[in-house]
Amino acid sequence: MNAVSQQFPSLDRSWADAAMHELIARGASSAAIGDALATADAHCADSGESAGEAFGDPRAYAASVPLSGDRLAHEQLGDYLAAARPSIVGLVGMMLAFRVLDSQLGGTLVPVTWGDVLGVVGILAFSIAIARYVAVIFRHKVAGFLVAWVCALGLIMLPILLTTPLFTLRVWVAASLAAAALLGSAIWATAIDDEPDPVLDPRPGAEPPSPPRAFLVLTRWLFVVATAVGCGLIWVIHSVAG
Amino acid sequence: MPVNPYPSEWLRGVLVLAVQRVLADGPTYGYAIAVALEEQGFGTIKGGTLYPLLSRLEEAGQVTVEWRAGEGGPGRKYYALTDSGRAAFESEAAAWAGFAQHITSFVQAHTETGAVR
Repeated sequence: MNAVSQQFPSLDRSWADAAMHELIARGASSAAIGDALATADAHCADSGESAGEAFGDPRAYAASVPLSGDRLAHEQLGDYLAAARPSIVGLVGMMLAFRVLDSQLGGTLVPVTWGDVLGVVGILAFSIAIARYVAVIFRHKVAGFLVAWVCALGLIMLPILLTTPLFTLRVWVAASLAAAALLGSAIWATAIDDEPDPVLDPRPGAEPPSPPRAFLVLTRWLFVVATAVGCGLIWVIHSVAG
Repeated sequence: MPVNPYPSEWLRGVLVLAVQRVLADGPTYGYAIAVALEEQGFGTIKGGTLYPLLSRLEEAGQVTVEWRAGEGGPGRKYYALTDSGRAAFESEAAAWAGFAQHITSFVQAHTETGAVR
């Protein structure tokens, strides 16, 4: 059972998901999505009908919901950047940690390449674009996800292809910076604790569904975990190659 | 279950007025409106028809909405006529009465004379 099914138990999961995706595609705010789904949920609870019987096609229902003013999502670039700050720090720490390990295994100084810098900037821009244009992606699911994956793949390739060093760091400086950035991002993400609700249930007493604690911890320590896994892979690759 | 005795195309034309009429009795929630309309011979009003209509009335400022806690169930969305909604209802109800009277006279003229001149 997903979060939407928990919040709106009288709605079929596939119906609720389809209606929610269409509302997201129309740029609805989380409050407007919650209101539309709660309205359908309350009606189905009263009438005993399924959502399909009472409301028909979920996309048609979502398309009939008036959206204007505060019913539309109005996130600005600054909001996305503010939300992304811990992730940016974690990403920098992770890439620096990979460079430190790679350098230690190769016995050199730690080079920070154009690929590293462009990769971080690109991933930041990519993440903001995903958040900003999620409506377009949901509207054109196949093309949207295909473009997103191609972009993500291209960004991953940047540090591999653009190896010209921009500057070098001593190992202990780079390792300290990487550790500080990784720990800092996890602590920062935990301190902010402002995971936005994609769907706000307007009903009195409605509690937003809380994801499992282990999932929350994992998301906040995501870059630390990813760095540990990545470093393990780099070490294995070096062992096999060398 | 009450049977719908009237052609559905007639009912569609007066559905907004009928919903306003139900709300004129006081704030109520969507399913209760559907039940009240069914009892008045409108047949089963599906949620996919009723709620977009209520949303249009809300957008037009004729209705306000309020979520209230449910009794042992989920909360319900209550709809209430605003002053402008009540004025619109009274105006349209008067217009409808005139229209119905006109159509009745027109149709009965045919019935009485056997032809429309």
